[in-house]
Formats: sequence, C-alpha cells, structure tokens
Amino acid sequence: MTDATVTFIGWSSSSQSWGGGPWGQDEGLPAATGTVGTVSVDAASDAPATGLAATASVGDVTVTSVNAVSVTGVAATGGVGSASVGLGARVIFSTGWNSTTQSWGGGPWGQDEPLPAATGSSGTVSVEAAAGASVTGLEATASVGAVTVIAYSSVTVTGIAATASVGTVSTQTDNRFEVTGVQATGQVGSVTVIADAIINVTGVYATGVVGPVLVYGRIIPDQDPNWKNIAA
Amino acid sequence: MAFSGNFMCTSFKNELLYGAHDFDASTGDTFKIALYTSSATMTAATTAYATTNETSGTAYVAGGEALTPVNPVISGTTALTDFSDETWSTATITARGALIYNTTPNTTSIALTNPSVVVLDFGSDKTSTAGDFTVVFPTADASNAIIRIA
Repeated sequence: MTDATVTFIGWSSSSQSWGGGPWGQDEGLPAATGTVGTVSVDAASDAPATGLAATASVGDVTVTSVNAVSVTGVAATGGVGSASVGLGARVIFSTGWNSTTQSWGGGPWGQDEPLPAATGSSGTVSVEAAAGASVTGLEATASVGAVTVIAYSSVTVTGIAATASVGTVSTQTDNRFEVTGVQATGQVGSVTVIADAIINVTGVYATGVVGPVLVYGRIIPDQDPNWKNIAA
Repeated sequence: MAFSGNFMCTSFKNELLYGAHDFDASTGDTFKIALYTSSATMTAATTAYATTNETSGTAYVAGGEALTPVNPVISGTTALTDFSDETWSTATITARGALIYNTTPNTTSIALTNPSVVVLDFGSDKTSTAGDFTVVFPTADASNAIIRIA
C-alpha cells in the first residue's frame, strides 16, 4: 500500500486564486485521488468458494494547509452632507488561525471565526455642512388700512471716473432729431462781422430875436404952461 | 455825462454875427464832422474841435471827414442849411457823438481856430465792424434841417 498525499497550500486552488476567497466562506476541497501501487493478496487455498474478502487500508492522509490572510487596511468613507471622515490606515494581520481565541491550526475548517475588534481613531474630522434651502412659491395677501411711510434716504455718491480711449472710429449716421428746448454752447473759431452803423441825427435851430427899439423925437418947446383946479 | 443832446454851439451864434461862417456849397468854408467816444464831454459850451476822446479805428482819420454843404435856403421864416450824408467805408468805429466844426472860418473880425458849429448826440454808442459808418442828416426843411434859424 502506498500513501497518497494531497497538499493544499493556502487558498490557491483550482477555483480560488491565492488570497482570493472571502473570509469565512466555505470552500470545497478538490477531489483527492489516490492510486494504490500494489495490492498483494494472500489467499489461503482453503478459501471458501463463496467469495473473496479483501481488506485494504489506506495509510494516513495528511492535509497540510498553510493559510495566510493579509488584510491591508480598512478604509471607510462616510458622508454627512459635505463632511469627510478619513480614518487612518488600519492594518490587521492575522496569520493563520493563530489568534487570541484560536491557537495555530486549532480551528476547525469551514467554521466562522470572528475577527478581533478593530478600533481606530481618527485624527481630525472636519465636517462642513452647507445648508441650502429653496423656497418656491410663497404667497401672502395682506390688507392694511392706512399706511404712512416716512423714508429717509441718504445717498452718497463718490464719483465715477472713467477713462476711455478710442483708436479709430468711423461713423456713418443718418440722424434726425426733433428737439424741444436745447441749450448749446458753441465756439466759433473765426468770425468776420460786417456791420454797418447808420446814425440819423436831428437838426438844431436858433431863434433870432429882435430886441425892442426906442423911438423918440424932439418935444415942442413952445408951450403955455397953465393949471386948472380939479373939480371936487 | 458825455453827451446830453444836440446843441447849436453858443459861440457859433456869436460868430455868425461876426460873419465868420460861410455855408455856400461852392465858395463857402470847409466844414468837417469829427466822431467822439462816450468819454467826451460836449455841450452848447463847446467852442472848438479837440482831439480829446476822439474816436479811433479802422478807416477813421483824426479830425474827421469834410462835409459836403448844401446851399442855405429859406423856408417860410426859417433859414436852413444841410450837408450830404457822411460815410466812413469799411470802417471799424465806435462813436457816441459828433462835432461839426469849421476848418476855414473867416477870421477878419474874430480870431478862430476850428470853431465848433453843432454838437450831435447819437443817443448811444454806434459801432461799425468792417462796414460803413454813416451819419444821415435829416430832411432839409424848416422843421428838420440840421441847422435852422427861425
């Protein structure tokens, strides 16, 4: 009798690549085939003619499985609104079955084995929450008897300065304006004014005046002086 | 006040009696009209031509221009004389008034130099700019002639 030994190394099998199987899931072993080299049968001659009985035994079958599972970190991403939570890399090494609850090779095949609790601490968590509220359609109807509004306005204008430069502008316009009340100030470069002055004068006059003349002659010298009483 | 109206100069009346002024159109004296600015002071008391405050300007010559007299005539009881209108052509002048004076008086009986005849008040500054500055004398009749003796 020849022993048959089937060796499985890790999870590498015909159906799973190395380290490809999920943890804790059953995995069927491949069928094991063995060949028996030589079987010698010693039969006594007085064997009953009613049959042949053979007893064969197969040596021990040893299955050696070396499992190595590497878990290289757990990353969790949680989103609350616009918050990001980042956990530092956590690495849990579990080599074989050697753990806190099971010694190496102590666990039965295909049985669930809880992983040790993994604890992690995050360095800094920043949460940014943006609240946006959209209100569509608010309608209110109100009536007020009498409203007096007193508004005080203060407007401060601090001037606007604009600087513009125009390279070359060509315009062609056909403008028609109807303007009422326009005040314009224009400057005329050179103006030649020919103005005539005509002065109508009035005449002057003098009035000739002839003065009075005194005409006299000699008196008659021969007189007879006399007197008469005035009647009462 | 520069000018305050038209005046027949008092001295002119006196000089008439001396026979100093001859208004005959052909053989008479030479009468001129000079222009003055508003700064001039002229009244009936003005006795002779003076250059003070006389107008200056393009086409204006100091002393003024000679007038063309019209022979004296009688209208009713009024004796009158006249002058042709006087024009400074293409002139730039501003004047407020004028003085007519005799540049060739008869000085046989009285000493005279450019004796004044009449003072004319234009009423306001009159200006010509590169144009004609014209003094228009009134109608030569008993009521309007430039010089009348009634």
